[in-house]
Amino acid sequence: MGWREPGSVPPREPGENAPVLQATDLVRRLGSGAAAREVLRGVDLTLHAGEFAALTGPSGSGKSTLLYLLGGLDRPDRGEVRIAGTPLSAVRDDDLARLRNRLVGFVYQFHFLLPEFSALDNVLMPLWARGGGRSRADRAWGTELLEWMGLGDKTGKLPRELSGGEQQRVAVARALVNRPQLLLADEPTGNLDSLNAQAVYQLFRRLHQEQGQTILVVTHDPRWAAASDRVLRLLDGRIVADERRPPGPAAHDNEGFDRGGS
Amino acid sequence: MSAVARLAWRQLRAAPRPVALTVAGVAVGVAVFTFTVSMMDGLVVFFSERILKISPTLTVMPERLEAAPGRQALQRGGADEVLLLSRPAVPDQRPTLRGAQGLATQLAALPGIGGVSLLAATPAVLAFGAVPEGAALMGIDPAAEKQVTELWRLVARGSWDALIARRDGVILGVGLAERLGADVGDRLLVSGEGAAAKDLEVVGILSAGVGALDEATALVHLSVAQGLAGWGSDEVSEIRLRTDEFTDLEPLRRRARGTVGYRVDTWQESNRAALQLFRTIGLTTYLLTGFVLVVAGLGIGNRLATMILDRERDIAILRACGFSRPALRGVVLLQGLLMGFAGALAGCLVAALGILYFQTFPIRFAAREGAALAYTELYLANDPRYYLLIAVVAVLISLLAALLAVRRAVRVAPVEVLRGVA
Repeated sequence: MGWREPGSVPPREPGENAPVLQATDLVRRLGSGAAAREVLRGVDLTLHAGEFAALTGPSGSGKSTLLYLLGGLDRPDRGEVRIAGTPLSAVRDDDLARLRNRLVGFVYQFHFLLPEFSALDNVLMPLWARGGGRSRADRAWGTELLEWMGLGDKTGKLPRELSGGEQQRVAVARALVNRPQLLLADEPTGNLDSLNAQAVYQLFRRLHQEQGQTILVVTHDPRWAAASDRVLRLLDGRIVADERRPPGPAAHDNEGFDRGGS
Repeated sequence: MSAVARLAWRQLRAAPRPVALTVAGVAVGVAVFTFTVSMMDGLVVFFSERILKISPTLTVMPERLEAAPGRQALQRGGADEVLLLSRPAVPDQRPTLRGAQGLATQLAALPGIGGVSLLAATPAVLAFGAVPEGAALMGIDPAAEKQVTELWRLVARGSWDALIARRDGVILGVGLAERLGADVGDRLLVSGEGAAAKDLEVVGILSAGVGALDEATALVHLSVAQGLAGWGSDEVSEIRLRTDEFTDLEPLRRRARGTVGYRVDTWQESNRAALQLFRTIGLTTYLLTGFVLVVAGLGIGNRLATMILDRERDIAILRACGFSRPALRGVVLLQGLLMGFAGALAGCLVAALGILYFQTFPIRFAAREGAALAYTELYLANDPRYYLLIAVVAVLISLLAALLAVRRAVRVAPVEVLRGVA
């Protein structure tokens, strides 16, 4: 077992591949009646394999709403999301759960670990959802992920026995256990102190560099933005800027976090 | 263990106290219900056994049966026949069976009949000194009666065999003897509707635990009762049969009826009113205690609903991880099933121990004077079927409660919960 399943496509340079994620004309209204408001107003977005993008914008600009739509956790009022070419509008709810399980890893601002399960069991949870997670190979893979996160000695610990940063790293491992084509993160360090935030950032960076993981991170932390290959700016429900940085991780490795680490 | 089972089990284990309380609620419901059923069934078994001791299983009554003309025609298969409709035969004026010995011989020859006895029942006045008492005189052949009932076992003082030996003997019900102030060896003057009074000696005191027998009955020889009633020697008020089978009496009853052409009652029919009363009391009790079980079962629904509410976030993350709605439904249903099963098991265990205890150390209480049935001990029936049936009902109620709760779990929308937390 390892990061890539046998026969899967190895990571390639950003922009070279077919899109992993494609969003077209996304509109999302929240609330009802007089309180209804259009949070997203026609968002178009394409993310290719191996890209590390940050989605920024002020509070209330629709970042999280967009991320939930892109991850198939919510459905748009208009427009289409395609993950690995599959249009989500054509997929029923329970099939969408399966598709999400197979293709998308999600990291939230809070770790959302199940309190009565060990770190390893939490990591294996998405495998359990598809009937796996019990074989020796699956457990070895979960352990490898935790080791990669620097938590090799804490596989049997319950979430309450871990620090906030450790809990979030377990959550990242959980998001990766199904080897997703796309990793989405909603302010993954928003709830952490700067030291732990930097550790989680390093993790994402390594994932991108060493494993070629496609990543989209919602953040309003400018340090994340500064350290990403691509920065998308969302304002009032529209993408108003899409800035690509020069390819290659070395140019901005740890940029921002190292400079401005607080 | 599957993921669904693991999730169900771990979540239950994470809240030991409320889960234990819920399980305890079900256990109490099951235990109370089982104990009540055992008590009510014990009462019916006690009553039935007592009745079977003092009553024949089948009784030939002095009511001649004649098939209705329409049925006779149908039995002949004559669809075109003109039927003569007539009024049913008028029963005999005197409610007795004639030719009793011949009928008894025919009945004794039937397979499945263990004993036949004749009874001549007639009202009489018993006088001991200056004390007269009205009584129901039962004229029997004491030797034949031993083959039909166990009245002979219930003679508290004196003996049944003395009645067999002495034609002028009488056995008094214990209450009647007390009212007369008579005891074994005393002589009574007995007068009936027919012939002159007879002088009889008390040879036994009967204590049957049944008010009708103890308070008002005097047992004498068949010929004595017939004489006092002014009946012929082949005339009786009923023929009493003991059958090898006690419960499914219908085939034997039909055979006996076909043989003699008289109405034949089973012991259940003869005691229908009392048995019906027990059933009604039982049903009311079951309904009341059944509510305890239902409330306990709904407690599971309440517990699950609370757990779902407390764990909306976990449910949302499970959905986000790829768990389908059927899988989450499975988790909640399994939790309901586990709690219901644990409660049913614990309840059955408590009930079994309670029943065993009270069977070993029975609660005794004083008999009420003049009661229809002397019930001096708490009788508890112990049938494995109660446990199985009640446990199954408890688990089904729990499952039903879980089904109500499960709707909430599958309605959890991950995005709303996760956004709400963020």
